[in-house]
Amino acid sequence: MTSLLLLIRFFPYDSSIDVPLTRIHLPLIYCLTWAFHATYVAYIIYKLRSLRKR
Amino acid sequence: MRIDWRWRGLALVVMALLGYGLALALWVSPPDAQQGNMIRAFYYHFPDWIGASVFLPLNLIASVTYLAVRAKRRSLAMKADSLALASAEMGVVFCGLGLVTGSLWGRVEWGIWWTWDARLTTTLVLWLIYVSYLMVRRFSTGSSTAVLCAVLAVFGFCDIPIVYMSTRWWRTQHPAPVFGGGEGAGITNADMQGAVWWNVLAWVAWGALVVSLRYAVELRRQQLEAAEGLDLISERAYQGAAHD
Repeated sequence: MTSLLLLIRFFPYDSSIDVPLTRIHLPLIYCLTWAFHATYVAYIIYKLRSLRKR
Repeated sequence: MRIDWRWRGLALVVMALLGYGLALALWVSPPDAQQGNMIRAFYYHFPDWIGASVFLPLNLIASVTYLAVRAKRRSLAMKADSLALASAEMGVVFCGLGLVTGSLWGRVEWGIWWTWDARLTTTLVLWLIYVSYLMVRRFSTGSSTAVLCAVLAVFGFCDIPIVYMSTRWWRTQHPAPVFGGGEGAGITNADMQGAVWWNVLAWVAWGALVVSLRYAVELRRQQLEAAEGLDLISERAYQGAAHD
C-alpha cells in the first residue's frame, strides 16, 4: 500500500488546476497500460516454455 | 526455440524508447490549460488506437493472404495464419486498453465512465468481434478453423472504418479527432506534440516486437503440430503394412 502511494506521488498533480480524481485516474491509466502489456508478454513466454517441453 | 540476441537487443532499444516516452509524458510536457495534468492520459490513450489501427489491418492482410494461398502454398499459409493470430491478439490488447484508459479519462473529464454514443459503441463492438475471433481460434477444433477465422477477420475489419468515421458521421460525446480533425483541432505545443508522437512510435515499436515473438511461437507450434500429424500418419501406414 505504501509503495502504491509512492507511485502516485511519481505523477504530476497540482491541486490548483487538477480535479481530485486526477490523482488516482492518471496513475491508473499508466499502470494498467504497463500491466496489460506485461501480462500479455508473460502469456507469450508461458506459451514459449510449454512449446519447449513438447 | 530460443530468443536470439538480436531480438533481445531490439527489446532493449524499444524499452529505452518507452522509458523516454514516459519521461516526456510525465515531466517534459506541460499541463493543459483546460484539462490540467489529465492531458497526460492522452499520451497513453492515443497510442492505443494507433496500435489497434496498425495491428488489426495487419490481421486482415494476413487473413486474406491465408485465404488466397492456403491450397497451394502450405508453408506461406501457415506463416500468414500465425501472423493473423499474433496481430489480432496485439490489436485486442491495444483496443481493450484504449477502452479502459478512455473510460478512466472520461470519468474525470465528462463525469461518466461510459456512454452509448456512436464512437464508444462501435469501438466496443470492434473489440468484441476480435475477442470472438480469438475465442473461435482457441476453442474451435477441426480443419476448417483457420478458414473460419480468416473469414471472420475479413468481416470484423469492416467495423474499423465505421469506428474511424463515427465522430464525423454522428454527434458524439467523444471529441472530434485531435489530429486530422480539421481547422482548430489538434495539439500545438511542441512539448506536447513530442510526447504524443514519441509515445506513438514507442508503443507501435513495442507492438511490432511483441507480435514478432508471438508470431514465432505460433508458427513453431503449428510446425510441430504438422510434424506430429505426419509422424502419426506414417506410423499408422507402417502398422497397416506390417499387419498385411
